[in-house]
Amino acid sequence: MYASERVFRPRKPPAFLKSSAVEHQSDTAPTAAVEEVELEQIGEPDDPRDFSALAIAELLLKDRWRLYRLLRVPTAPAVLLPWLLAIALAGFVLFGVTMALVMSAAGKWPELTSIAAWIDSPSSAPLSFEAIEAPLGELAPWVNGKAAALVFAYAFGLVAASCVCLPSLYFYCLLAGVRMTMVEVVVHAVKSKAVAAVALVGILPIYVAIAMGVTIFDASEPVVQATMLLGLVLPFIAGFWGTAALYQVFSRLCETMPPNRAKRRKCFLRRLVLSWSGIYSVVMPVMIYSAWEVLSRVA
Amino acid sequence: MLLLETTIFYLLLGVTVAVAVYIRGDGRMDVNAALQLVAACVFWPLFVPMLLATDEASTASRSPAHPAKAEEPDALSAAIDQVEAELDAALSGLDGWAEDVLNSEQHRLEELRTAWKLQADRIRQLDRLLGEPAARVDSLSEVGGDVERARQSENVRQGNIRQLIALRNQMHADLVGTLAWVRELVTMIHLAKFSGAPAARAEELVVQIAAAVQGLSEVSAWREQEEVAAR
Repeated sequence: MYASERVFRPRKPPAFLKSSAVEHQSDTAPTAAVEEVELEQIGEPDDPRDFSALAIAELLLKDRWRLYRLLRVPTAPAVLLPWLLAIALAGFVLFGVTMALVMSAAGKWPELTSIAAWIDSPSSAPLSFEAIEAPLGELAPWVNGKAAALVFAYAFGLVAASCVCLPSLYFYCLLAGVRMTMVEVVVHAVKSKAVAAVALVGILPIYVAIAMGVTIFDASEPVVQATMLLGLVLPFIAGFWGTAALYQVFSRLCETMPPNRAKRRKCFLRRLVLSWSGIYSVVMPVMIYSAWEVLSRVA
Repeated sequence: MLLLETTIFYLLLGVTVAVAVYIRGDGRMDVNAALQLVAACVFWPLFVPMLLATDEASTASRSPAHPAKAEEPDALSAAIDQVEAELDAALSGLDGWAEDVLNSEQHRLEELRTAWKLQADRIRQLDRLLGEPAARVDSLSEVGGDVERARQSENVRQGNIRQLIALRNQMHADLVGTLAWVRELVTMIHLAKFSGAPAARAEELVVQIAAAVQGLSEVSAWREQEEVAAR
């Protein structure tokens, strides 16, 4: 027996297949290398209205394939879009609040220079961490609205950047030959945001532990600033999960094309999704930074 | 100043979209609906495509009866298309590796594809039948509730409807199970090809795929036997 032969031994056929040609041979034991298809996963489509935000978050974590199937039900976008948006916003708001807490605890708060002013004289960094000096002490950002500005800027900027980039994603899909409606593009883009938000919430405790360590052990100034800066770019790191989720969806849709086209288009689609991610990675920080800077000035 | 003007226009559009979302919704005004309206106001570009889309999705989401059944035929067609595409890709990727058996099983493979579509059609027909008012509304029982014979007939009728539902579920399970089974075999063909397996293994897998048609033909065979018996 070939070594490879052991790997792809067919598993027992479903009970309803009575054909003698597919009768299972007793010596053909399945191995771990062959990932078994659970028929329960491919049963009747779920009803989107049966899913709450928590159930959807659970699907995002445990069973994205089922969520993908759920999103293909025509009624799904109208029902699930608000929930996915709520999950994404909840994750980003939690991140904003945590970052505000961490920076308050460290006694540092970022001072932002407007993009226009920075372009005019790019001698210093656009963002610098200054010690919180106010009668209220470390509570000052929470009272004067700067913490709220940070929370709003991240929650709004991360989602609003998707809105700006949506038309390009739609046209990229059309270019690649994937037949998607604008609604489907929107719902998958928001789903990728929700995936990124869940990933962000997942890595947040690790970051908080590191940041608290830096604060408690009174690390040097550059280390504190680097830790704060790392915190501010965490959503971009978590965004990779969202991009991967988006790409997986489009890859699956590519498989529904005729084989000769799918082979050619898949590579093209990969490049387009990467291009879109590139555009998004430029738009998102600018959006967040602008919103944050304006709101900080107003606060 | 430019930013302020942009914000005002953005929020004006947002309010318009939120109003449209409210009008298109089911008229409830609870916490969820209020949050949705706020989201529509702030993130209106996400909601505009849904408002401009056909009415199908939103009306279906509002109707409480038979949640996913009406959309299921589309889902079935999509599933069949997907499995067919994957099967085509796998068979064309064989590149003459199991050509003999592929030629000999070509007829059965075609039969399998036809059987999938026929099965999906039957499920749609049954869905339509079961969705008709006659299958759900029991108006006769109101007028003929005290007539023993009418009651008996109604019981038999209800039994027949239950059988139809069971038959429909069985057909659906058969179809979906076969599709899943074929997908699994398709991945095994890829695995066999790329792991340097002997051609006999690919032939065996192709035969298994072709044989999957027999799983679907059971219901058809049962119907044919009924027809023969009736003659």
